[in-house]
Amino acid sequence: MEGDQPSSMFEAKPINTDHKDLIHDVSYDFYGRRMATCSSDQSVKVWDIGEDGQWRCTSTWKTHSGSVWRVTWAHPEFGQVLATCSFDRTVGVWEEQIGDQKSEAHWVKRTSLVDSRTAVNDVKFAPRHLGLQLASCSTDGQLRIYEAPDVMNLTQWSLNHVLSCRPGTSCLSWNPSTVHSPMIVVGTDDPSTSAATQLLIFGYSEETRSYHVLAVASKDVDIIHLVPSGTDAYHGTKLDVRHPAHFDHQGAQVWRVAWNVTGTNPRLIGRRWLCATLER
Amino acid sequence: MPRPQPKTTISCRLLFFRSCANISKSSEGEMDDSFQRASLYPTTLLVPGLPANCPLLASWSGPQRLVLFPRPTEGARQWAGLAQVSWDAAQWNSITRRLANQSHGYFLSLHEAGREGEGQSLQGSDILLYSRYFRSALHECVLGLRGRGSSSWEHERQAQVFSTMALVWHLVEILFIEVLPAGCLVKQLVEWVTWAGQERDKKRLKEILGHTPPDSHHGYWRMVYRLVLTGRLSEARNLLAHHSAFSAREDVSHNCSRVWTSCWGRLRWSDPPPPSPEESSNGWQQWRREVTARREAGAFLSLRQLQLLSRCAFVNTHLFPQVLSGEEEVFSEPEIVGSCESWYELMVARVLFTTPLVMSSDYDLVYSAEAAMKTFGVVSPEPLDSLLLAALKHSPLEVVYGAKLAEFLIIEYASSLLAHPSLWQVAMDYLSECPTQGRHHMVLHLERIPLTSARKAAKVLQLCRKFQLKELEESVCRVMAMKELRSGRLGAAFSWCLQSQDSVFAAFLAERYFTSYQTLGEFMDLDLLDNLGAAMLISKKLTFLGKYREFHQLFADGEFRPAGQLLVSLLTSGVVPKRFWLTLLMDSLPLLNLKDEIVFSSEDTVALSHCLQQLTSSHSRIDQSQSTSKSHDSEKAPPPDQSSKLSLLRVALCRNLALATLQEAELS
Repeated sequence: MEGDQPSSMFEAKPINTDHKDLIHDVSYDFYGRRMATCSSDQSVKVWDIGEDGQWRCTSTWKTHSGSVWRVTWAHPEFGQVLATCSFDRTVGVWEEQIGDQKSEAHWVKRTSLVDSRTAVNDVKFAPRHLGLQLASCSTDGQLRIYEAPDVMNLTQWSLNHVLSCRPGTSCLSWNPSTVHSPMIVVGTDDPSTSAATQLLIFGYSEETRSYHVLAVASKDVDIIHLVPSGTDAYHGTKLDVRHPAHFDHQGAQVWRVAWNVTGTNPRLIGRRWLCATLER
Repeated sequence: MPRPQPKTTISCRLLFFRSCANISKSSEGEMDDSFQRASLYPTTLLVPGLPANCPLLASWSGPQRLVLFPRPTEGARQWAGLAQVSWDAAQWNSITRRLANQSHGYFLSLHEAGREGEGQSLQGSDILLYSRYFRSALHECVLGLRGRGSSSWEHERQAQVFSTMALVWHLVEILFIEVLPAGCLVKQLVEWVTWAGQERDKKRLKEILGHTPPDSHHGYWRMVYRLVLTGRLSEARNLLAHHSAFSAREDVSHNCSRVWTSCWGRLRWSDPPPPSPEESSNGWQQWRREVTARREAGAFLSLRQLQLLSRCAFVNTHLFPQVLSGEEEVFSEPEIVGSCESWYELMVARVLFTTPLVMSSDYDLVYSAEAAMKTFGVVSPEPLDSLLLAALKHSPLEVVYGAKLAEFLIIEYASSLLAHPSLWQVAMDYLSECPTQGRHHMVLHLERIPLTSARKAAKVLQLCRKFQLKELEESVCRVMAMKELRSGRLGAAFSWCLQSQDSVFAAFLAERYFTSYQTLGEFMDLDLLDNLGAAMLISKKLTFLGKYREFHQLFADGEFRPAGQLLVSLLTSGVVPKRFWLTLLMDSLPLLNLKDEIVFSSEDTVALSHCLQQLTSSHSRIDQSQSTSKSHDSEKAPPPDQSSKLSLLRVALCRNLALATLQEAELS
C-alpha cells in the first residue's frame, strides 16, 4: 500500500484519563487487557478493558513524591505486579491485592528501591525466562539490575549489577529473545553527548557473571544491523554495527528504545520510528 | 512553544511503517533471508483530537492498535489524555470470518490429503475440487458483503477485494490446475470472463428486449458485440433476429441464421466431451470457410455492423500461411473495444477468434493480453493487471522463490487473523503448517493469548501439548495458578500446577498449603490431596504433603502403628523443612500417650528425640543470636506456649522410651 490510507479504515477515539497533569507513560500488561498510566501528578492509574471494548479505571493511587516517569508490568506468572520510577529518585514495586469483592482491588507497595542518587528515568522488568529481575537507569548514567530471588516474596530484592553509562540515560529495554543470552540496550538523551555514544548494548556473560558492552551505536543511525563477529575477551558475542538503510530525519533524540517481539529488532523511537536488527 | 489547542480541532500526522518481504529488489531466485529488511511503505493517518504540532509518544496496545499521547514539553500544559488508534478493525466481520473459517477447513483438508498420500503429490482432481470450493466460498462472501441492507464503504471495499481475488484465482485454476486439451482453454477463458458479469448482462439484455423495437435502444449493438465477442453466438443471433431490418429483409435474416446455426454448430463448441484437437481445428477451419464464402457472396453487405462482425470471425490462425494481418486491427475498432468492460475481456475475444486452439503455455496468450492492454489504454498497470499478466506469463512467484515465500505469506495471513479474538485457533493451525518459522511464531503468539477463562486456558494447553511446547505449558499453568492463589483458592491453584507437572511451582504451593494448615489447624481442599496419586512424585514437598495427609487418615482409621511408622519416616527422611517439624512432633503426642499400645519402638523414640533435640538447640541458637544482633530470621524464637509443648514432648518421649525398652526386653 503506498500513499495515504483512506481515513475510514482507521478508528481513533480519545480516552479521558482524568490525570491532573502531563502523562509520561502508558504501559500494557502482557495480554494487552490492562493498562497503566503514570503522570506528573505523582499518581498511577490502572485500567481494565471491558466487554464493550471501553477502558475503565479500576485503581488510582499516589505512588511517589515526584513526577512518575515510567510504569511497567511484570509477566503474569509473577502475579499482578507493577514497577514505577520517578523524579524522586526511587523505584517502587506494587502488587494488586484482591479484596472480598472483586471491585475492591487495590495496590500495595511491596518495596522501594532507593539506591539511585539522581532521578530514575526508566524501569523495566526482564523477560520471563530470566526470572524476576528489574533494570533501572538514572540521570547520572547508572544502570542498576535487581533480582528478587524468591519470586513470591516481592519485598526482598538484591542489587546484582551496577553498570556505568554516559550521563543522561533516558530509556532502556531488555532483549526478549530466549535464544540469545541476556541483553539490555540503553539510550542516552543528553544533547551535550557527542555523536559517538547514544546507544549502548550490554550483554551478560556466564563466565564472568557480569554485563559488559557488546555494541555502541551513534546518534545518526536509522537502522542498526547487529551481526555477531566472533567473541570478545569475555567470550561474549561481539556485535558489529552496520547501517543498511536510512530515513530522512534530522538527528532524533533518543526517547524510547524497544526490541521487537522476536528479540531481533531493537527499535529506537525518536520523533520517528527507527529500526535495528540483530542476527543470530 | 506551541500554544495549547482546544481538543476538538486539528489533527496530528502519524506515520506508519510496515515492513514487507523485499521481493522485487532481490535478484532472480534469491530470496532475502531476513524478511524484515528495508522495503517500508509509509502510511499516513490523521488523528483527530490531539494537539497539533506536538511530538507524540506511542505504545502498542494490541494487534493493530496503538495508543498515542503528546510528549510533555516543559512549560506548556498539553492535553492530558490518550488517543487510541486502531486500524482494519472491521476487517474481520461475521461474513469475512465465515470465509476465514471455510478456507481454513479446505486448507486443513488439503494438507490432510497430502499427508495421507505419503509422499505422492496430491491428485489433480483433489486440488481442483478444493479450488472450486474455495471459489464458491469467495463468491458467497462477496454476495454476503454486497447483500447487506446498507452496504458500507468498508464492505464494498472488501467485496471488491474478494471478487478480484476470485477473478485471479479462477484464472490460475484455468491455467494451472484444470489443464484440459487444446481447444478447451479458450472456452474456459470465455467462461472466466463472463462469470462475473452474468447477472449484469442478463439484466441488460432483458432491458433491451423490453424496448420496442429493440434496436432503438442505445445499448443494442454494444450488446450484440458483447455477445459475439464472448462466444455467445446463439444469443447474439436471437438478438439480431429482433432487429427491425431483419423482418424487412428476409434474405439477410435467412443467411445470418444459416451462418450461425450451421457453421457454428459444426464447432461443437459446447458439447461434452470436448472435441479432440483435430476435430476442433477442423471445425474452426470449416467455420472460416463458410463465413468467408458468405461474406464474399455479399451476405453481410447490407449492414455495416454485420460486416464488422464477419471480419472478427474471419481472422486467420497460424494454420493458414497467408495472414490477413489487416483483420487483426478489427480488435482495435472503437466499437469493439467499447463493448468490452475490461482489457481481459478484449483479450479473450481476440484469442477466441484468432487463436482458439491456444494452450496455456503458448505465447499467443501473452501477446494477445499485451495487445489488449495497449488497445484498452492501460498505461500504468494496477496490481490486478500485473497479477493477471504474471499468471498468463506462467511466472507465479512460487515457482521463482519456492517455499520461503509461501511460508512468509502464511505467517502474514495468520498474524492478521489474530486481530480478531475468535480466530486465534485458526491462525495456530496455519502456523503449524509452516515447517521452518511456524513453531517460533506460534509460541510468540500463543503466549500472548489472554487467558480470560479456564476454558480458554485449557484450549491453549491442548495446543501446547499437541505441539510439545513444554515451557509454554508450564507458563500458562503458572499464570492460571497465580490467579487462583491471589483469590485464595489454593486447591484450584494446585490442580493447575499438576496439569503441567511443574515441580518448582508444586514445591512452592505445597509449602503454602502446609503453612495454611498450620494457621488454620485443618486441611483445605482435601479432595485434591486425597486424589494426588502419582502426581505426588513431581516434587519432594508435595510427596511430603501427600504422605502427611495419609498419616492423618491412618490415625483417623485407628491404625496407630502404621501411622507412627509413617511419621517417623517422614521426620527422618529429610523431606520436611525444619519449620514444620514441631507440628509433626506434636502430632506424635497422642500416639505417645496411648494407654493401650506402644506405637513407637525404642529406635523410633530415639529418632524422635533426636529431632526434638535438633529443634531445641536451633531455637536456643536463635535466642542467643537474637540477643546480640537484630537479624530477622524466618524462624523466630519459640513463644512461651511452644516451650511448654517441647517439654510435654520430652516427657512423653522419655516415658515411651522406657516402656518400649521394657516391652522389647520382655519379648526377647
